Amino acid sequence: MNDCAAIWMRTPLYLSAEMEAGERTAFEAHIARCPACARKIAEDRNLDAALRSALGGLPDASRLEQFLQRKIAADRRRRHQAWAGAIAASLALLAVGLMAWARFTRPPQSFADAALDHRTEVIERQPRHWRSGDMELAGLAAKTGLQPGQATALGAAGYRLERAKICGIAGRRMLHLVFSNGTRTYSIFVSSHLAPVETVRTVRQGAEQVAGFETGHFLGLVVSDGSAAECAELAYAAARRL
Amino acid sequence: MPHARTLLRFASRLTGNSIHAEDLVQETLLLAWRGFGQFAPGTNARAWLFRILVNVFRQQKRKRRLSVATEPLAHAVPAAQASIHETVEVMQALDRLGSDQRMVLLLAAVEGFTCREISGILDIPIGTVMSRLSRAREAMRELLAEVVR
Repeated sequence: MNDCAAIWMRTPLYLSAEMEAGERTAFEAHIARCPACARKIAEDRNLDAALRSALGGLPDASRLEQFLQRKIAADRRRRHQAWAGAIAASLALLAVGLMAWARFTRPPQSFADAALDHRTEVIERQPRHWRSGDMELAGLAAKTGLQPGQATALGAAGYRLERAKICGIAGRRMLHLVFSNGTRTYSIFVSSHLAPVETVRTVRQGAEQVAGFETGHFLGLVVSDGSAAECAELAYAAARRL
Repeated sequence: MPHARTLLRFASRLTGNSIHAEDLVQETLLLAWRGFGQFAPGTNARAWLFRILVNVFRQQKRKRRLSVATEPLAHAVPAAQASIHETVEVMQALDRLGSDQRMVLLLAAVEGFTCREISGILDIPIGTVMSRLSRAREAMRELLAEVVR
């Protein structure tokens, strides 16, 4: 290594002790015989020493450290709060989800009440005050908001309206209509009701199949001993006539 | 808090303003605290912190158009051994360097980083570090000669 320009270029590596052994030996051999390079390197060393001497003192950082410790503690608290908030939000979401699940999977109380009424009053024939005369039936139907003859027409083809009475289903006054074809009997519960959409939903309730339906103006429940499809068909038949 | 004082010393010379320097170190250490997961264990933590500081300084400089090294900080950064007179002379000369040269010189001479470490801190090739360092030392020698005259 004889070129002074190359020596000057590599001097930073020499001063920071990053030079490999072979290169350092050649570098030192050059400065041993080159007074100009030796002087320059000595000047660089002196300059670094002067800089360290002038600027090497450490400033007081206690105020900064205290501020940072407070900031980091607040940061930690915020992170914990964010975690706690996220957990609380997740739990709330889970609770809402469970409520919604329960709401949409569990049959409404009206289905259970209708099935129970059908079982006790129609199948088990517990004594109730039924109406069966045409005038009486027409009077009950009118109280429910049905047009004359509409209650009779709710039955499926081949079924005849046998009897009716007003009953309480899930806190709602409903007209309980019993239809029969001589061998099979089923119930339709109707009340006036304003519904935004028309729906039919079927649910197995013990031995009975219940189909709930909503038309624009009526709420109905059909209880029968048939399958879900049959019950739904009876519900559709009634809903079409309302 | 390890390295806070050396970071503050470097930041003070970099910004030339003790308030900006404290802001810079504060931002650096908060970023380091929040991004500690990015630090590779076993590597040089001090160089990592200086690298964050330089990046924050560059961002702040772009945003605020900081005037670099416009006031002496003898009151904020105490001299190690030199007299006040010598300290002021060195700082006057240093403040007349461009910020790129001043940064490499401070990192090498005062903070004791190697050229390879400086290359990582400033994110520039090692050859650039060496040439900037050589030119900075040359310029400082001439400026100090002027100041003394």
